[in-house]
Amino acid sequence: MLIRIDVTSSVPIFAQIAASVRRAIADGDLAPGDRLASARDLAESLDVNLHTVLRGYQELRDEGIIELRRGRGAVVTTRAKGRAAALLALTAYIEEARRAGLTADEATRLVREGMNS
Amino acid sequence: MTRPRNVRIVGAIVALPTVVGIATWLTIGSFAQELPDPVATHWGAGSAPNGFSSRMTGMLFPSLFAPIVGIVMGVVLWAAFRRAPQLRRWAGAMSGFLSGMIGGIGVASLWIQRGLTDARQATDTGVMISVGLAVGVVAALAGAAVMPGEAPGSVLAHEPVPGDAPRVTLAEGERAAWSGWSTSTPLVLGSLGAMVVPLVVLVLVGSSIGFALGVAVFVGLLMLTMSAFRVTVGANALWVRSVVGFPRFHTDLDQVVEARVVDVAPLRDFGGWGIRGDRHGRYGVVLRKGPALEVRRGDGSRFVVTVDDAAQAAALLNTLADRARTAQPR
Repeated sequence: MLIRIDVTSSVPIFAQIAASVRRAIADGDLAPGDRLASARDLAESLDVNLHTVLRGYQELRDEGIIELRRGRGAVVTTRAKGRAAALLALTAYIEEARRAGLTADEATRLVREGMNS
Repeated sequence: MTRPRNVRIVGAIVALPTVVGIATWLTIGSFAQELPDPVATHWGAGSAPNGFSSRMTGMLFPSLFAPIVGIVMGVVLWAAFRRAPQLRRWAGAMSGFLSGMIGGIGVASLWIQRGLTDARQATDTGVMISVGLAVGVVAALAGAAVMPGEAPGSVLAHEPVPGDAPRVTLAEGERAAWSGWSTSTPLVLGSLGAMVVPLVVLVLVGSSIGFALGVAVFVGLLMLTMSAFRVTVGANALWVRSVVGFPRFHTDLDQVVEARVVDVAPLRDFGGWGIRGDRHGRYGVVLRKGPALEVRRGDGSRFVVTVDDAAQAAALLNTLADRARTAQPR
């Protein structure tokens, strides 16, 4: 599992870490049941604060992509792949919508209509 | 620089087992007058002694056997790990462990016969293995401490990473970390099996459940430490750490000459699985057949770890090693 962050980017580092994990899952580098690097190891490897990594992991947990268990660390869930792919597509959609000049309300409405149809 | 190191090497694999042998002899000698003659020297199932020898032989045997086994094991492992600096301490530890265990069992087996008129009454065998293990572990720690590890600075890489070595593209402000597992499913299952065997055998032989459980957990943990390793490539080093935390190996980025993916066949290349070294200075964690990450270090030694997706690990390691060179020009 390769995690990349860009410290010069305006995107917060915790979000970059979460995005890196999502991409690894969508690409099949990480499969359900795989364990992520422990937050402490990853913080040390990337030379960032431990809480930054934990915040990234918590975001992934809230998205249902990983489970955080005391002692066992962060484990990729069975439904992770679909969710990660959907979230990646959503990120791409938001970028396109921004570029096209859609407002947040318009973009959200399109998503809702698309899902209801 | 080399001479004190050589003294320490001889100290760990020759002097330490010899000291254990002398200590065994002196300890037994201190209570020899209280021993029966002949003494029991072998026990069968049900803790009943079934082998006897003269008191003198019973005293001499562990005192000589402990240092001989320790020295032979130490020399063999030293020869095997001579060019694998990170494994050398194991030669000291194993030499200490074996001589300490044999000496400890020898002393304990006679200690329980003090004051007996007939050696056939000596049945308290549980204490022998406990004492042997305890003395063995202490002697192993001593051996590992006496044996010199890596000479600081000798491993530094002086040349740039070769241009044809694999790399990943990292932008100026980008940081990257890679992590993966080096595991062996047969070994993990084997360690669980290895816990069951002593449990069953010891209970059948009539040991207490507590003691049998203790030995089972000890054996299982020992096997488990060798069967799953976390591999991390990050800001300043390559780390290979056992799930239990020990053993672990690390190579700083400024020690990395080059990282590559190699194909490893454990039996053919290393004569088996586990923490292994070969005669050409190649050593590391070899848990399965297939692609492995191989890191050439500044001292010419090559560290190998079998891991999935070794290509990404090698590429990142080379890229980060490049960075470490430019960050602090030497």
